[in-house]
Amino acid sequence: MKRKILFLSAIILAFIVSATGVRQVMAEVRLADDKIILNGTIKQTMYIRTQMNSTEYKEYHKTHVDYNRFSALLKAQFKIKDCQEESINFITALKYWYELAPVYDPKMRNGMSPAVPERDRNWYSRTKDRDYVSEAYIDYIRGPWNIRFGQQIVVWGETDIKRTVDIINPIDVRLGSPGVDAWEEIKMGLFMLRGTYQTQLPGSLLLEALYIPGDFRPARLPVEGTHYGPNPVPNKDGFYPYMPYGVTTWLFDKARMDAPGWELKNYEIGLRVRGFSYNIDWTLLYYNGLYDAPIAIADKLNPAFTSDYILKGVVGSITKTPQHLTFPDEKCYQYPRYSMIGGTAQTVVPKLHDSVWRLEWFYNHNEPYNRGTNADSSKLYDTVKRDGCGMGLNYGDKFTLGNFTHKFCQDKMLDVSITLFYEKVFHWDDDIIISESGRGHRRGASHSSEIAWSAQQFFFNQQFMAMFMGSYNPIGKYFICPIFSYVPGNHWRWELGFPTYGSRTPSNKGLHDKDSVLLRARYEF
Amino acid sequence: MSLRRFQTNGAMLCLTLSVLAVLLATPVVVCAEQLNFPLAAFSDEELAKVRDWEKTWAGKKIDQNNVDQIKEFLPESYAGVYKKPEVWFEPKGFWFTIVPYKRYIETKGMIEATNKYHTQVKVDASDIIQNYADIAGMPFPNPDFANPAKGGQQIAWNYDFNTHGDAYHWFRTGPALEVKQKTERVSDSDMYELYYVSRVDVDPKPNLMASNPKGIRRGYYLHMYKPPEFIHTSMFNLRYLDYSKSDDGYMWYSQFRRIRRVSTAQRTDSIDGSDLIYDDEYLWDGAIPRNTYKYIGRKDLLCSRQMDIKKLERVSGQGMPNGIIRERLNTLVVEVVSKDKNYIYGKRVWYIDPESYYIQWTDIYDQLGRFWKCFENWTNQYPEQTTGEMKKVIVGTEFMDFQRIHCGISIQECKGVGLKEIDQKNFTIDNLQKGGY
Repeated sequence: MKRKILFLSAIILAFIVSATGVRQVMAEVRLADDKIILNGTIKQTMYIRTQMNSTEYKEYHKTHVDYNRFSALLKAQFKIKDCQEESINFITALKYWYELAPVYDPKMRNGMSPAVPERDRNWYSRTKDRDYVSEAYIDYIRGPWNIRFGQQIVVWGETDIKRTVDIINPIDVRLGSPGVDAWEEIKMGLFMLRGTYQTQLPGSLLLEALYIPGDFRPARLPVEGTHYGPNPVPNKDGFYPYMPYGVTTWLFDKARMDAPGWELKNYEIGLRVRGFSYNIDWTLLYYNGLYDAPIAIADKLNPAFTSDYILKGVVGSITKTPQHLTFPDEKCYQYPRYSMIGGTAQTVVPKLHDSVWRLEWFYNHNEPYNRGTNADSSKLYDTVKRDGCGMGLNYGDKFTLGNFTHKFCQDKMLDVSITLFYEKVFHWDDDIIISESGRGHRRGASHSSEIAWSAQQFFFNQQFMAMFMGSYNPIGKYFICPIFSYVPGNHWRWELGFPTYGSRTPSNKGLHDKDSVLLRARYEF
Repeated sequence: MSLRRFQTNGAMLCLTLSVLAVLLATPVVVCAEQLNFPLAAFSDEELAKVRDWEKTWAGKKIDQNNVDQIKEFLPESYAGVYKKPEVWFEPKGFWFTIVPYKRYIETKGMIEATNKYHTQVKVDASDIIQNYADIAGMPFPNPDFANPAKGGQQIAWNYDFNTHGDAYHWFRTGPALEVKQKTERVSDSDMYELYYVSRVDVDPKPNLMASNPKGIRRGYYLHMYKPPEFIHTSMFNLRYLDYSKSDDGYMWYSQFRRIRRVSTAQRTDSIDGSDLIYDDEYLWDGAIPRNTYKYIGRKDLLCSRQMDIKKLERVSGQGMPNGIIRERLNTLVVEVVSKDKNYIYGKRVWYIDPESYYIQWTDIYDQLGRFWKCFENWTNQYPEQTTGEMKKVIVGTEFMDFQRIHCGISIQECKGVGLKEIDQKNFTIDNLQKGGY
């Protein structure tokens, strides 16, 4: 209890000090006659769970703060050559994070079967290996050409939150999620050669091509027992007390082990054309690469899982002795190749209140899926490939709320964004496992739809901001998050949010019991 | 006799020199006589009185103690700021300096274009210019002051045809201030402006392109360095000759790494915590036909027209810099009312420099007719890269909201005016993408 009070006091004190003592200083750091430009962010993010079942709390937590991350991002631009004809830059972004929750909460890390498995604790709680480098590439510009070579993050989409066509880089959702965190923190950079060429053709066509020579990185999935991960299994269940971690960890870790490394045969290519016609800015794109998410090889995974996990659990239950879990050498997961064509479009429609409309669409070819009896992932029996299509349509507009925006918001208008998503998988059969994919499908349903929104209003000369964002899926799954932020000057940003989740569909629960209070302090320079 | 001859010869010499001087200055003076353009702020008689007044005041530092003595030459609101600085949480007070009036004469290019095109101006029954893309210079060098509505509109058109040296690059530092808390949120950005039509100083004139199928009037590009959340965010904006067509705006928002089409039609949305709406850039940045105008008359005001921004003195959180340099100027006063009945401002009153057609001061009233804001432009002259002539540009602006006691400043360092080349590629998506990291 003393620890808790001390910790909260420190946070409140830091808030008061920074909120009252903010003064102007330089935003970015420029060195060597502006040849080196540095900027970045330092951030502390905390989730205080307001919804946690009492069994989980008693067994695995000493505090409701199950996420408390320090993170930093440093971006640097080194100007190697900068003249009218051509420029050469070296761009790099380095990141670091440290997750404090398992450090100050012994119940999250202690015991034979802790909330956060020991084998994954370091992997998820701090930056490791390649995680340190978000991006590092050479940027060369000459005339209509722009060539970038090195580890990069590419953004191809137009809509927020959902990645409809924005699929080049895999995402890391161990400690963050799109919309809440910056792309540099969510996406993992890939080594690639990327070039654009501005043509003189009608429609100002801008051609873009990228080639990833086999640098494959699978999506990073959340760790069991952590804020974004599956809940830890109660130890009173007779099966688990002698197991060091749950089923999810075994499966996710095996999938990670089976991910192919850097091999030329794992190449990925992307092509994009950007143009402007009939007052519409559009892009057309093509992508061919490996699927970022693991697909199980049923005839390998089932026996391996039985012998290396289930049987160990049974032995542990009978003998009452802690078990050491193993993994088979042979691959149980694959990351098959698939391709996508898609596009985006955006325009302003004067007749509709000068609103901005954005459309994103895709057609996936040979997207891989697992099948299980009645789409049950525990009854896996094979793998299939299917085509599918989807779209996201976004409407963005600004409104004046009568005297309210005049009086309290200094005439800053309310910014509204509403997006509709829809996707459908063709040649459907009811055994295709899709509901756990996070794509919003009900078990056995070939299609999914969702509406997402955000309304943002600044107050008092933009020192304060209130935002109400959320999404609703007709299967009964929703996400609501009011966020309030305070920006007292140039560098500090304080945020308070209440992310709330719910789902009426047992097969697609998402973060249904992770309602929290979000506290975030950010220093930008 | 010889003395007389000498005197006669001396007189002849003076006459010859005078004629020679007149002939050398022909392009300016002859036109000026024909058109009364460029206008001078003061007649000779008025100027003599001003010079007399300057004997007392030029070089004087004006502050809380003596502002009452010159308050007739300041907007009432600003006189109050100097008189009661505590209202703006600046107990030490503000001060500025008076300097002698210095006439500004427009560039030769502007004068020549005015001579050439002012007779070709075509207007409709509402005095809206119909051949905007075919003319340059001041369309109405001698506004019809006898007719307040027509004269007001003509002054507004002259304002609109000031192309700021055709191609202009400046670096803006713009703190939005919370004077009570002494905090400020600073935005820094490089800004570029390129006129596609009505060009007077930089070749090709008057139009940048032989063919302008999109009907672009002006391109505007900015690259932001502050605040940190917007670092390396850039945007461009294209304004069209078609008065009814909204600008096209595109933004590379560095945090999302996306090129977003932005709606530019919401001109009354306030800009990033400042007291400005989008129409307030330059103190008016919209299509002239959106308003009705009424010429009110002339008013002598202290205006900042020789401002060296390096001499401004200010500490962080201070609402208005000290050390502003102001001179007497006989401004043109125009009342401006939006044709949109729901427009955020009830009316504006412009105080326009008759020599450069910049708005030096503007008073802004709310829809209930209550005084709301007062903005001041500071200008100075810089040599044009192309011609070497001095061109007046805006080097800063003070924005004060008197209802909320909130203010902002824009300090604009001239990086080049009358530039030979601002690349049109600045106003392309390709450029946004290339600059986006």
